[in-house]
Amino acid sequence: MSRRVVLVRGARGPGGGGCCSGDVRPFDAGGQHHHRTPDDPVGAVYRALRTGLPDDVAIEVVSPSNWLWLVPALVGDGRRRGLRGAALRRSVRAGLALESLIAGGSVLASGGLPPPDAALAATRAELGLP
Amino acid sequence: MPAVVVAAVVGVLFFLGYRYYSSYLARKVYVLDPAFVTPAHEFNDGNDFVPTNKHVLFGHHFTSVAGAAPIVGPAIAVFWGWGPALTWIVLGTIFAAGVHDFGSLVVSVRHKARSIGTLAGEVVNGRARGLFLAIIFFLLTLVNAVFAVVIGNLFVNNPGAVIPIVVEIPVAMLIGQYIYKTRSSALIPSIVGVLLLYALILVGNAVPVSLDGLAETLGFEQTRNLWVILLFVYTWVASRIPVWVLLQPRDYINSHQLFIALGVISLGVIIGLNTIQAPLVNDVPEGSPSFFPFLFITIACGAISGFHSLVASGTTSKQLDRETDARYVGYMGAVGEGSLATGAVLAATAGVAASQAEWQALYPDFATASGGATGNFVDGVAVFANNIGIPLDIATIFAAVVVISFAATTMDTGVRLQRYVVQEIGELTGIRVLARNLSLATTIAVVIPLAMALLPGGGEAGYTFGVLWQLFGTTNQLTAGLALAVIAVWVTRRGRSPVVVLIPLVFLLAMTSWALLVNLRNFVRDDQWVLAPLDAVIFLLALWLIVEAALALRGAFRDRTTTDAGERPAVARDEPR
Repeated sequence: MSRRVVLVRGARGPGGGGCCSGDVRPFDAGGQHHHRTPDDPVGAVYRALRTGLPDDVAIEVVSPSNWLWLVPALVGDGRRRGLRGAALRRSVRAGLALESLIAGGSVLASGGLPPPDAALAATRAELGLP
Repeated sequence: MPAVVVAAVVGVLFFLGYRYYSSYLARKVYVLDPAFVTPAHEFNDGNDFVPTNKHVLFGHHFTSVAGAAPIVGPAIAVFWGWGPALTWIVLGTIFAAGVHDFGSLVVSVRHKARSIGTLAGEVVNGRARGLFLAIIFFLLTLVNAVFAVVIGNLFVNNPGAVIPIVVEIPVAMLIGQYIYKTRSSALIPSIVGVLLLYALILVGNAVPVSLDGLAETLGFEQTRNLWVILLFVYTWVASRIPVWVLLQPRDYINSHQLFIALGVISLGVIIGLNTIQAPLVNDVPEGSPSFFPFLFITIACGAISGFHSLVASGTTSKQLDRETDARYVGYMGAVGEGSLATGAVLAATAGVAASQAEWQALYPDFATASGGATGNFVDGVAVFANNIGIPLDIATIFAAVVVISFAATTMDTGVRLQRYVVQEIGELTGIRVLARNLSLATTIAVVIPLAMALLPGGGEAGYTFGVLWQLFGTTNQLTAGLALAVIAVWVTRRGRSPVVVLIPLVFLLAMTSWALLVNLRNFVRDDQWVLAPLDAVIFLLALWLIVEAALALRGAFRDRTTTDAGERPAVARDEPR
């Protein structure tokens, strides 16, 4: 698998699930019916990473509630880095926090993102990119 | 018939549907292009538009569309026998819901990820936007009314569920505060929340809460009505506070509960080897609604649900990485919903009764069946949970807690959405106070469904609930009809055969109109002067939809003919990138 960066979203956006109440946006523009969600810091970091990283680096933006995907991904990436036992558990827990940045299985930020430029520099260094 | 065999057969059919029919749709009808630049890439902003791994996106989509609605409908519809109910769920999922959910996603992706209401205005015509708004208004009104009644019934019949559900509110708020303040993982707190919720089941079992005395003192004929009023007071407040305070953390808890419930049903069916006690086709008493057309609107979610088009074209289409992922995300979302509905059928036919006589006692007539359906599902799931070692009394409260949690979240979001719709109507009609005064808009969003939920009629057994549920199914099917019309016009304009889209569209509109007419005649005959006008308005909306769909399709075919003559390319009215 090619290199992967995971960004965990913050607390944002319309919530609410379940049939006949899901995260719906019936109209796109105009009117109160349009749910415009506030900008998430993840968006700015994502844009910096997408611009500054090669195309073969996959960047996944994941909701913190999507543990069904997030936990196996963090465990798999961590194990590939050689993490085991308590170190792996700590890493997964840190990676699950809101506004986290994980590059190649290494948690670079947890519970708050650095500015986009710093996030890009840290990610490039972690992935060994010049 | 062992339930596990039925579950296995349905599973195989769903697999075949996904493997072959969705593949056919992808190749021949929607003609997915792996090289197409999706809106997630074109407008990539890291916020709404983000190319997302298809498995991640499926998680988002499925948890957004699955909930209490595919449980209630099937649990009522087994009144006609498990054969018709399961047949409609399987055929509806494979040939209607799959086409609808998958198609809504594709059309939205091909139109800059626009939402279905906007697409209706663009692809069909400008009037369709107003039609859509009206349908959504009625749909949300009925959603909020029926789920208030569902929760009220469950509280009355399962007083042990009151404490867990009530305490879930501050627990969710504490989790929300903790996550928001510390920005830490949502997983551990939400798992703790679920465990706490289930621990409270023991407390609820020891201290059941009944409002019978209070209801009697206040002069309520049914305790359920007091619960309904309390629920709407709660949703008025809940829908006004930011989503991260209560709704989002409760969603985290619910996402765990969805998978726990599916796991319990699956394991319970496999371990318990329960046998279906309901007849294949029930010999219903004279005067009961006939399964043609009522089955097809009683089971809306679980066979086909128009609400899925809102989710597919709302947030899912903005995150689709590759167009070819639409097959997996859209079609599998429908299959997931169908699986939940299948679980509901098994609970209400195999779990709830140990003999055919027991089952017949639960489903003697339509009024009793519709009034007791959710309770039957709860009791059925409790038996499945008991198969895996959970004591029956605790298991019953567990199942009630799961359904109430889903339904309460639906109500909370439903009232919030209805407030937006009321504001939108205020803007369209120029009544500015409606658009700007949140308290007024929320009050309107609450009062109308409250009145519907308190409608008298049919006594304790809940005839009115059965009727409200049918009207809900009808409006949900109309939403699906509008989305299918949009898809059919789009497919036709691209020079492909729209037959696979038109078949479910025509079928849905025929069943819907037929049911509305039958109900209208009954309401007038029985002097139901609240339900009769409501039914008449929804019928007019159905007629309006039929006319708009026919006009749009005629225009699309004419465009295609013109294209065949070489005057204009078929894709000219699409928005290619």
